[in-house]
Amino acid sequence: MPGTDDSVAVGERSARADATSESQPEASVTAPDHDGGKQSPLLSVRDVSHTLADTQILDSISFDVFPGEIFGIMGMSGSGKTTLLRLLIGLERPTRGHIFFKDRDITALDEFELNEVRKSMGMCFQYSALFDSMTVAENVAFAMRNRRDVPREEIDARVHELLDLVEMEGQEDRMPADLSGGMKKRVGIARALMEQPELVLYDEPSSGLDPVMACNITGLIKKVSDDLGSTAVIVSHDVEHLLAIADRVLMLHDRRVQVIGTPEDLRACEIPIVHRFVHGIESGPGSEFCPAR
Amino acid sequence: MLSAIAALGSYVLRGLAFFGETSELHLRTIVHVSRGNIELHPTVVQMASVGVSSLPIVAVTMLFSGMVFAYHVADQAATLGASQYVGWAVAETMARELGPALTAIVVAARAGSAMAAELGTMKVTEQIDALRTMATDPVQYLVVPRYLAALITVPMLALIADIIGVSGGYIMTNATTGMTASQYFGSIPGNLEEWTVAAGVIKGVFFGIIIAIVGCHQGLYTRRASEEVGRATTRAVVYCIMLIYAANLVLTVLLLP
Repeated sequence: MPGTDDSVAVGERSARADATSESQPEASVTAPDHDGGKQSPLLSVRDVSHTLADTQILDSISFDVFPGEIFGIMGMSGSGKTTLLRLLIGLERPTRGHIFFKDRDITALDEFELNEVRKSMGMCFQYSALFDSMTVAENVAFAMRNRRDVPREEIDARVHELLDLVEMEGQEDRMPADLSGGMKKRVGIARALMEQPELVLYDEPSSGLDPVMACNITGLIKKVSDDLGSTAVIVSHDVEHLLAIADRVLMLHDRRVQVIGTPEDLRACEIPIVHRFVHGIESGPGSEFCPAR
Repeated sequence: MLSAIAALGSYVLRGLAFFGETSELHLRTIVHVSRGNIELHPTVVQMASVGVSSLPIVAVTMLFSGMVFAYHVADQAATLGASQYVGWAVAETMARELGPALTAIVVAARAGSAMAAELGTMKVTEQIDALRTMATDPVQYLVVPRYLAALITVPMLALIADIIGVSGGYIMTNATTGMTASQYFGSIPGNLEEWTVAAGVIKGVFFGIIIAIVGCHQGLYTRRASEEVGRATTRAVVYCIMLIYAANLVLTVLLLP
């Protein structure tokens, strides 16, 4: 499994992340160097900080995502997970640092150049963000609507294939307003996969769903990644499902990366906030209101 | 005193920001249009929404406006012994001012608000972000069709409004004074200049641009909260009406000295 070359102790990985962030000067715009023989990362985040309305959301974030892996980003609500995901696809620009996609610094690109890069990416939004004036099939086909080099029949076939993959076959003509939350998520996944992206970003794919549906969606993401060989970055605070499918997981807290490691690393991690988050132990500040305590 | 100055400064800054943002949006729209980045289907849909769907309310507005205006003019003209010019007076006023201005206000209230609401809802529900992630420029996909639709249909509506307004004037004049159609309409060809009609149509082009750019701007710059969509919609209509009146003054001075 690509990316599992990083299966080292959590402490070592965290130290590596810190060291990487410190070793990257702010002005550097060259792609990060990698050890000889190791697989080049598909995505490299280097010393990224982000401030919104005078509030620092992210501070010196650095990590790599390797081709074919499922990379999880977890953290408490408001920890900056979604903001980080938006930075990765260029919806926002970091106030400091660099993000490399296939060794190209996307923080230096204008919107036109970013659109070229985005053709290799897909994104599933937390609330699906389906176009409510279009049918399911039109939503899925949207990215290829103006492709004159692809015959209409081929686009239709691709739509059917993707809807079949996400188990939404036969729903082509339904409108988003007529779909359940889980169905919308499935259509959102199909839409993100339309142009066969190398990297798919998922924002809280299981939020707002019942446990059974959340499990189905998580399984679907795993199936999609396995079947299509695409790389996935999943932002979630659903620890159980994230650790079940991710190859590696990063935890954000207090604006910084607390740890990066395999699910096993995180389960064994003794950093208090990580331990508390992963195991759901109701202790620490604020937990006095928890009824399960 | 200080708070009053601060409030004034805040208004000025917001005004400058509005001017800068709408200018940038307009420039980006023009660049897309000049490069031929036009999506035909959404443009046709928007032309139906802005133009065809606005026609009934424009017709009703202009019919009654023409009738009211003719009622006053016929009364005054009779006093001055100039009843034979009522048709021309109504036509001149419709072509110069009432046709384009009232049409623009009606379209701003109907279509400008719809643009702000649609785009604002798309912004709040992340549909505009979704467009961007699929390598689609929201200006090209959302603004350009609305811009072209307003640019093309508002002048056409203004011309139709002129005709309906003059016709409404005839209905009223005929009902109150018994003036015949040949008397009423006969005064128009020799007195109403072609340029006057053309100037009204040109005004319609500028009003259409104002409606599209302001409506789309308010939608695209909606902050991420549901109640902001309502505020953006209200602002779109208010700003459109204010700018249409201001532009009408400038265009009248420039085109019809």
